[in-house]
Amino acid sequence: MVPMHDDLLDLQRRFLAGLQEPLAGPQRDMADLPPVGPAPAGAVVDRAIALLADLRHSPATRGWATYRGQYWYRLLDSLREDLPALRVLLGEATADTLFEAYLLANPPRSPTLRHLPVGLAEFIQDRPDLGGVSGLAADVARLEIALCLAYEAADAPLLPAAELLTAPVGLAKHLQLLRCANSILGPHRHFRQSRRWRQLQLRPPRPQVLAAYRDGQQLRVVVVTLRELAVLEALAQLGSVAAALQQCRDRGILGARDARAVQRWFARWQSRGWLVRRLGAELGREETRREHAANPGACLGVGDGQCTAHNAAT
Amino acid sequence: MRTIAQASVGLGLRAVHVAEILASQPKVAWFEVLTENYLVAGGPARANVRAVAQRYPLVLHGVGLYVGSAQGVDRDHLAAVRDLADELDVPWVSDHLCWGSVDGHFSHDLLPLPYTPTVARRVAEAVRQVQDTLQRPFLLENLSSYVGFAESTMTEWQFLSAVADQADCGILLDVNNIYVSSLHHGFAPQEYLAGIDFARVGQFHVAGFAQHGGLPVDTHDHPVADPVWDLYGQAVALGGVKPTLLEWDARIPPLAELISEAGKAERHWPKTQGEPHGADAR
Repeated sequence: MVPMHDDLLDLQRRFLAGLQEPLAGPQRDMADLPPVGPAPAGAVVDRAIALLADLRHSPATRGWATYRGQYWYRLLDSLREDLPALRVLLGEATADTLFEAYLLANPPRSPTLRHLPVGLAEFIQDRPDLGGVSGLAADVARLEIALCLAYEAADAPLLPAAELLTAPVGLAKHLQLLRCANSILGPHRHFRQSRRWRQLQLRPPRPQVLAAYRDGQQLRVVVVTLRELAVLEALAQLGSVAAALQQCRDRGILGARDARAVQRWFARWQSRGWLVRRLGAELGREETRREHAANPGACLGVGDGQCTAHNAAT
Repeated sequence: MRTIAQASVGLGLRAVHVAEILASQPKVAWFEVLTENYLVAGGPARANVRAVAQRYPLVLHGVGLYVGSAQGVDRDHLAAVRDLADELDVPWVSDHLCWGSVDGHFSHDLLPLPYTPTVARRVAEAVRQVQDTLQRPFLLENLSSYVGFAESTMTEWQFLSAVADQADCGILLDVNNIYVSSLHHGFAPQEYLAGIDFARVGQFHVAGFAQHGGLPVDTHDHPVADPVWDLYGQAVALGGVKPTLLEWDARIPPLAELISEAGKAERHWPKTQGEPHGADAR
């Protein structure tokens, strides 16, 4: 039968749905998955295999298994590569089980694998199967994802100090602000040097605001204070130094004696490349970004590094 | 637009080699850039590929246009490819004769199509849309495939030729893929070559494969196998020397080793067409 358009669409839906089913039995070895996983829905896979013909040298099921293994291996490998600290924190088997569950609930919806983990931190947050480290694991995932986003974010012209008070100001796209429930910067630095995770879960959580950013070809992470965060968020929202500082004063975040501290902050932010000239179109996009922040799922796959960071910080 | 000589051998640009390439400027005729790796807004990757483009001709090779997707080519993705092609001033863009996404879900794989005249017409329409947008030559690459669809009524080479003819596009003939697919599907690779209009072939790929369970899988992580080099020689004999690229994407060896492996292509060129490796297009 010659397929028409709808037939091709139906074929592709059946094929991809079959690929997305959990691997079972020996097939799990192909993706380096633990032997026991979710039970596969056999009918979905059977419907996909029914599309195929046996080949001269191998049955259809053999070639199908190759595609199934490739699908899962490629996606899992991408997450493993992007989240090395999370893997060490959880252990390889637990991390793989988590990644598999995440992919089953969140099949890839972006043409780039770089966006694959963007919903992972929220997915982890309240999982009871992580033995009490879900909050810590979510923070670690958030930081590792932020570093990936910072690496590829758009370049923008830096704003000269002389224009700070006159030009529209924006935050560099590579700057990712993260409000974490745990103090993970020290352990993460330790991990980057030693590839080992310094245990934190027995200590009481201590919130920490982090800024991940790109410095030339390097990625850096620093702690920022809640007051700095308030000014930076006001800058992102209002696009004007004067308006941002006024808003912070009105809300009691800054006082009359903070002038020198604020000057030091701006000098530091400028030296780190966080302050850029804000384009007119970005002011309009701010509204959209705030809508995204209210609905994190809408941010997935839009390719805007600021989006995820904003979610994480609010 | 920069040009690339017919008798030339290129390499896939891989991140692990970029610093060495920029520092030592090895004698390589051109580099093939994996499109989706550089569809980023900014940062070191985009800066590096710009720097390489100032020193070498580049071509773009994609894995994400999915011209065979029943719901059509993603226009945003296509526009991003066009912008990158314009920025890097590439003489052509290539991607695969495949599909990979449906209903906004992505497989991140190169999935085969049912080979029928109706599907060929649909894919040709999509390829024409791609060419209209890119405004530069577009080459379609044949896949390694491990399954066949019950609905297929054409061979892969008949399907590829039909799409290329109807879309009036070029072909990137991957000789390793022909060899790998021939072992799965049980056809003679020479029959495949005989069915190709070499006037449309703008580039060759060669690559290595791995064995899984006694059958080859296109993994790009080994040297090119001897039967693939032999088949490449047969393709050159039939269609003439074309720009040829060695693909190596995993377990990537040092740059010097890659250059040496790619240089083996010249051994299969007729003596009259051989030129010093890598010296022609710069």
